[in-house]
Amino acid sequence: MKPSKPPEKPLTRSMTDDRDLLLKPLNEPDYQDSFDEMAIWLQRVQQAQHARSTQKPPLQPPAWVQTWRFKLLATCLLGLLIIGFIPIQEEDIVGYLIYWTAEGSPDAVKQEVAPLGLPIAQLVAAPHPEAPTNRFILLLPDATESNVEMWMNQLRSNNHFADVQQVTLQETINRPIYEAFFAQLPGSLSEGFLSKASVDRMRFRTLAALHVSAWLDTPDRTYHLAFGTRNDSLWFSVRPYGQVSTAQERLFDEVQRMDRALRQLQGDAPRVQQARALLESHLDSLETIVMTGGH
Amino acid sequence: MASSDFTDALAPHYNDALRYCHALTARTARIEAEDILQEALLKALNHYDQLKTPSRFRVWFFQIITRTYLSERRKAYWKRILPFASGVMHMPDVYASVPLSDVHLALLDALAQLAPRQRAALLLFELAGFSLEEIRLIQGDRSLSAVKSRLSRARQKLKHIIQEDKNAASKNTSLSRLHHETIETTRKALDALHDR
Repeated sequence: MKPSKPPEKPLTRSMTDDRDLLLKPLNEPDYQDSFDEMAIWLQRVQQAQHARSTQKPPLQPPAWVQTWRFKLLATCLLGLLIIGFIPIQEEDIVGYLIYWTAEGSPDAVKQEVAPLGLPIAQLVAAPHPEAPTNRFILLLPDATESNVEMWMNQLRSNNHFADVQQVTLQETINRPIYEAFFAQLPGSLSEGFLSKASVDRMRFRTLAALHVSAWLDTPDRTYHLAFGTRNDSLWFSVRPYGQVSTAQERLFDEVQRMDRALRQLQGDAPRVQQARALLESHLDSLETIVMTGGH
Repeated sequence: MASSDFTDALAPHYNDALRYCHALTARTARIEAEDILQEALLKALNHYDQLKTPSRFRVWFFQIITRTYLSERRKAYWKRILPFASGVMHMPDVYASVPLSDVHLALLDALAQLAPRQRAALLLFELAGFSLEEIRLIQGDRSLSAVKSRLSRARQKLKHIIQEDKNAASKNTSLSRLHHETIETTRKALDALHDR
């Protein structure tokens, strides 16, 4: 009897000779018996998915919120917001000052200036120290550059006025980038955009930018006022005529208090608040004294 | 789309798909084969309504299995062993009930030494019986030559691995026989000494 040849181990066969035999063991397991169980599982999975899809979803942000475009946009806006509030330092115009010399009484000059539309309530008259003329000073905290230019031209065109000059009052301030951006936009947007509080602050800064000195000449009972920019680049001395009456002396006291308040404006925040309150309460007194010219 | 449509389409290919999944993951772990299969089944179930040509179900489903497997291979190890999200019902334990022969396991060992894409190409061709063109579609290759080249390299490497295994086994057998003879001789010598 011919001995039976032992079956050759499939792994020893060459793949190129008989691939089917080589990989045959992989085809031996039969998983078909588990198919019914698998079908039931698939059915349950789909039922569960269907149930989940019909349920009202919990509070979730809308799908568009989760898109990358929205996230990018939100990140950019947030970045701009953060950057916009970074404070920067810049030179800001806080007002203008016009001064000129003219002969004649202050009242006559006021009447001459009134038709030009200048805010004559803020006009200060002072005798020129070396000439028989008066020097007139006009503080313009709320004026725009174009208005100042127009008034300068009108004053220069008047033959009675000489040495018409303009001073731009500047101050280094800190403000957020966004405010600096809007402030530099052309046109009247700055006025429209900035709130009344901003305009008030501008007026306040104009006054704060000026240095006011006042003193009483006791023997003559005359008082002196001097306005100057903070860096002392320009000074105007006001020496009203005549002697100070008792009422005027009281007003002068008020001026001195205001002077002290103005000096305190450079202090810390509570002091600035205090000085601001003093300034506001006695500003009228100062204007009265200045406008009456001591008479 | 009813799940019965999907199971009807799956039925003729069920056995091959399970064999393919198991051979693809080789002997790493049976649970990995089950995870791949479960994920592929869920993907196929959810996207079955997008299959425009039902006759291409087999290619489409094996493509999902292959891509799921390759995607899992690229994941970090710790991600691969993470459990499924809560709420997912676990698939029946289909592999545990079917024992595998030693030859099968030895072949899986050899397949495990192939690169994943090579292994997938070889199994798709030899085990699942796909054409070269279908394998190109499943594996996302641009040309047939890439598939041919991959298959050729896989065959050569597998052949080499099997040959080495055979040599090693043969060597082990010779050493074992020599060891056994030595022990036997020693034992006889000891017996002879004892008799004297």
